[in-house]
Amino acid sequence: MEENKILNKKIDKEQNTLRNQNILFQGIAFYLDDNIYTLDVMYIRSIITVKKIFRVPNTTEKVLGVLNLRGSILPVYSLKMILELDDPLKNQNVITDEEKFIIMVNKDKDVFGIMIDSIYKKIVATNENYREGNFLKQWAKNFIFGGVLLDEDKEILVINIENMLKYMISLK
Amino acid sequence: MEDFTKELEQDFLEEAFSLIDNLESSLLQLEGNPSDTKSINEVFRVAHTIKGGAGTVGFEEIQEFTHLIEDILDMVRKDKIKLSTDNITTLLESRDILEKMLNARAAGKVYEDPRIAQNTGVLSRLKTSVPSAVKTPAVPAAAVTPAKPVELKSDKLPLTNEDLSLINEALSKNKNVFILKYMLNDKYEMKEVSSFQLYSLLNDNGEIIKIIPSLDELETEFHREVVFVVSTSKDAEYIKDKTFLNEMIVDIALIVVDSKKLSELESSNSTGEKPADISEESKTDGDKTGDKKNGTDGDDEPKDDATLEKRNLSTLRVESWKVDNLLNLLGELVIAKSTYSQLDNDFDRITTDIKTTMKEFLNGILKLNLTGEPEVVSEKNTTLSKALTQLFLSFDTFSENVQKINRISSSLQENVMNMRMVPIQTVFSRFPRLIRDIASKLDKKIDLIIEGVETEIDKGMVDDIFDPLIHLLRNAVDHGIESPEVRRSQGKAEVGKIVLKAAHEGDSIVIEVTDDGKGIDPEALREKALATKLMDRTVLERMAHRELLGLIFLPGFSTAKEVSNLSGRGVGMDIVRKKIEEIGGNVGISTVKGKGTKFIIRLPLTLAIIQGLLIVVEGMFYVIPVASVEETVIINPKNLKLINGNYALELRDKLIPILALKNFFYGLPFNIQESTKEYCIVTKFGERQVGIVVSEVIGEQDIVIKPLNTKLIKSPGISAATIVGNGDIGYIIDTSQIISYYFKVGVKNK
Repeated sequence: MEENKILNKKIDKEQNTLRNQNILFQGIAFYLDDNIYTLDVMYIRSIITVKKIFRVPNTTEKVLGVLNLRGSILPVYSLKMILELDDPLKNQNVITDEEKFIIMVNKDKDVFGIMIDSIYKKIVATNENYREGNFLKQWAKNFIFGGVLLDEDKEILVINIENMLKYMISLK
Repeated sequence: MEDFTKELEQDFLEEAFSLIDNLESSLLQLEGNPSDTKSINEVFRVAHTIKGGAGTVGFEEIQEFTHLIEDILDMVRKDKIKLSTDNITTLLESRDILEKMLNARAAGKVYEDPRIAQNTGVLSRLKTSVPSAVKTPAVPAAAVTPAKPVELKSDKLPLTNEDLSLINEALSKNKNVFILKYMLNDKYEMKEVSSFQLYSLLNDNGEIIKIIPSLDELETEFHREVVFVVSTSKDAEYIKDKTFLNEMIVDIALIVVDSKKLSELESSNSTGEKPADISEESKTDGDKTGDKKNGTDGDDEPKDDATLEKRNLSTLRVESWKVDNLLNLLGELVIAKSTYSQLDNDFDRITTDIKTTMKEFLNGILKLNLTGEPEVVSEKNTTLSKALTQLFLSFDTFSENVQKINRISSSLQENVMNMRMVPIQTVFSRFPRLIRDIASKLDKKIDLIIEGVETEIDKGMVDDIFDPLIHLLRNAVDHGIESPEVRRSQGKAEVGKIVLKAAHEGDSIVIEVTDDGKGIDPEALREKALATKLMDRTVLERMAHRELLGLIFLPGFSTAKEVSNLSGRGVGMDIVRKKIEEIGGNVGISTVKGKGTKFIIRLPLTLAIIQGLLIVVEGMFYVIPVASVEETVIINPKNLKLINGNYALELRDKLIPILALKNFFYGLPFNIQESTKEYCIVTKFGERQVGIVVSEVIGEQDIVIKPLNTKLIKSPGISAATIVGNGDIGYIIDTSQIISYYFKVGVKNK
C-alpha cells in the first residue's frame, strides 16, 4: 500500500512536470546497432517479432522483402540500408531471424515495416528536450530526420515519417 | 440520429444514381421515338422520385432542379411540348448536371457551376414557351378560372373500411351523411386557415368522418380542394348555407350518401383498386406507389404492375465492403484448404512408404532369431498391424473430409463471387450517349447495337473495363467508321454499325467491339514499324499479318496523329491492353481491310481468386495465371536454337523465343544440360508465343490474389502476391510485362 502511494506520487510528480511543459509527441525509441532513433507513436500500428520475410526480386536492397501480416502482404525496409549502414540481412531470399523486431508503420494508407535491432524505451518529446533540426537536412541521407531529442545524456534522432515515406516511394 | 440521416442520404444517393442511368437510356429512346409514352413516363417517374427523395434528405438544389425538369416532362406528357433533338440534348445535359450534383453531395459538397444556371435558363424558357402555362403542382391552373364548377366523384375517394363502417353506423342512426368538396379561394389573405374554419363549422353541426387531405397535411401546406365526409342531423341545404363562407370559398359540391351510395362506395373500395387521389398534393413524395399514380392516365398502368412485381422480389442491399470482407475470409479459407490438400498428399505418400517399409521389416523379422515367447511376439505383431490399419483408416477418413471441404469451399467461393456480380449493363448503358455525341460531332451516322447486357461481371471490374471500352468505341467511331459519303461511294450502307457484345464463355467473359468500317492494313503497320525503327528489319519482314496487327498494342508504336494518317488505329492501344491485362484479361484483334475490325476482350470471371500455375524459382514460389498459359512442355535440349545470343525453342515447326525466370529474377545464366529437366511454359504475347523457362512446376491451384503496394514495391513482372499452402508468400507473375521488359532490353542490346 505504502509503496503504491509513493509510486503514485512519483507518477503525479512526473505528470506535473510534463504538464508544465508542452508535450510535442510521444515516440518509441529503438536501437540500430549502437545508435538510438525514435518514431512518433502516432504512426506506429504495431511492433512485431520477425516472421518470415521474403525478398522480392529486382527490388532495391533497401527493401528487405515482404511479410504476411494477418493476410495482408506488406513490405519491410531495412532502416540500416536507408541510413547507409551495413545490414547483414540484406539480399537474403528468406529472413527468419527471430531476435529482431519490426515496427509496422501506418502513414495515411501506406503500411510498411521497419526492421530494428531492439526497443530502447517509450519517450516523450517536449519543447524542452526536442530541437527541430533543419541543420540535419544538409546531408542528403539525413533528410529523413525531423530533429533531435535529448534524453539524459543521449542524443536521439527523430525520424520524420513523411519524408521517409517520400524517400521510399522515390526508390527505384 | 445523425447516423440515421446519413443512412437516408446514402439510400437516396444510391437510388438516384441508378435512376439517372435509366434516365439517359430512356431519353435516348425518346429521341428515336418521341411519342413513346412508356419512356416519357419513365423519365417523368425518375425526375419525380429524385425530387421527392432530395426533398426528404434536404438536398434543396437537387430538389429545385429536378422540380423544373419534372415540370417540363409533365408538359411533354401532356403533349404541350414536343421533344425535338435539341430538347433531348438539353435534358441530357440536365441529367449530367444532376449527376454532378449527386456526386458532389456524395462527397459532402454542393455542386456549383455556371452550367446549372445556363441549363436552368434553357429549361425555364422551354417551359414558358408554352402559352397557357401548364399547371405546376403548387399553383393549380383552375385558380385562374374560378367560374369552373368543382367536380366531385365519390368513387374516387380514398375511403378506408373504417370510414365506411362509420358512415354505415351514422346511417343506421338515421343521420344524414354528406360528402362535401370545397374549392377554396387561393387569393384569400388568410387562405391557410380556410380549411380549419370549415372544419370547426362542420364539427359544430355534425361529426366529421374523414378529411381529405388529412389535417396534418393541411397544416403544412395550403390545398385548394378539400373534401369532408360528415354525418349530421341537419339537411344538405343547411350545411351548404352554413359553410359557404364568402371570400374564402369559390365553390361547393355535395353528394348525399344513402344506403345505395354506401354500397357503391363499398364495392369500389373492395375491388382493390387504389382510389385515385383528388389532388396531386395529397400524398407524400416518398410514397412510390402513389408516385406512379401521379403519372395518371391508363397508359402506364401495365408498367406499374411490372415495377410492383419487381419490387416484390426479395432482395437485400448489402454494402460492398461487407461482401469484400467475406471474400477476404474466403481467401483465408482457400489458403487453409490448400494446406490440408498438401497434407493429404503427404499422408498419401507416407502411407505408401510405411506400407512398403513394413513389408520389408516384417520379412526381415521372420529371418531373425528372436528370443521370447512366440505367442507374445505374434500378439505384438497383431497389435502393431491393427494400429497401422487404424492409422491408414484415419488417413482415409481425413482424405475424404479434405475432399468434402474442397467441395464446400468451391461452392462457397462460387456463391460469394456471385454476390459481387453485376450485369454488364451498368457499364454498357453509358455508351449509347457517348457514341451519339461523338458521331454527331464527327458528322457520322452510326448505329450502336448492344447485345448481352445481362452478362454478369465482377463489381470490381466495372470501373476498370469502362476506360478501355470507351477507347475502343471512340476509335471505332473516329477512325473505323467512314463518313457517310465515303461509305456510299463504297457501296456500304450510309449508317455505320458498331456492335458491342458481351457473353460468358467457359471461365471468362468475352466482350467484342465490332465495326463495319475500313479495317486495318497490316502492311501499312509493317511500314510504319520500319519507319519508326521499332524493331529489327529482319524480324519485321518475317512477321505474319496476325503478328503485325499485334504491333498496335506496343507502347510507343506511334503517336495518335501519325497512326490516324496511316491506318486510323493505335491511339493509346497500349494503354487499352495494359488496363485489360491489369485485371487479368487479354485483348485480341481481327480485321479485314475495307470490311471492318473486331476487338475481342477476354476477362476472368473474378478478380479475387484465380487459377494459377504454381512454380518454384530458386526456392521461391511464383504463380503464372493459367489464363496466360497456352501449354507446358518439357524442354528437349536438342530443340534449342541460339539466335542472336537469345535462345529459341523449336516447337512443332515453330520457333518460340524463350526467357528463363531464374535469369530474369535472379540474374542467373540460363544453360541447359542433358541431365537437368527444364519446363517451358508457352504464353501468349499479343499474337505471338513466348516461352518462359522454369525448373520446377508444382501444378495448378486456386490462387488468392493479395495486392502489393506498388508504390513501395517496384518489381517489373510481379503484379501481386499470394499466400501458398505452407504459409509462404508467392509472387504472381505478369507474363506480358516480363516479356515486353525482356524484349525491350533485347532491342536495346542490338
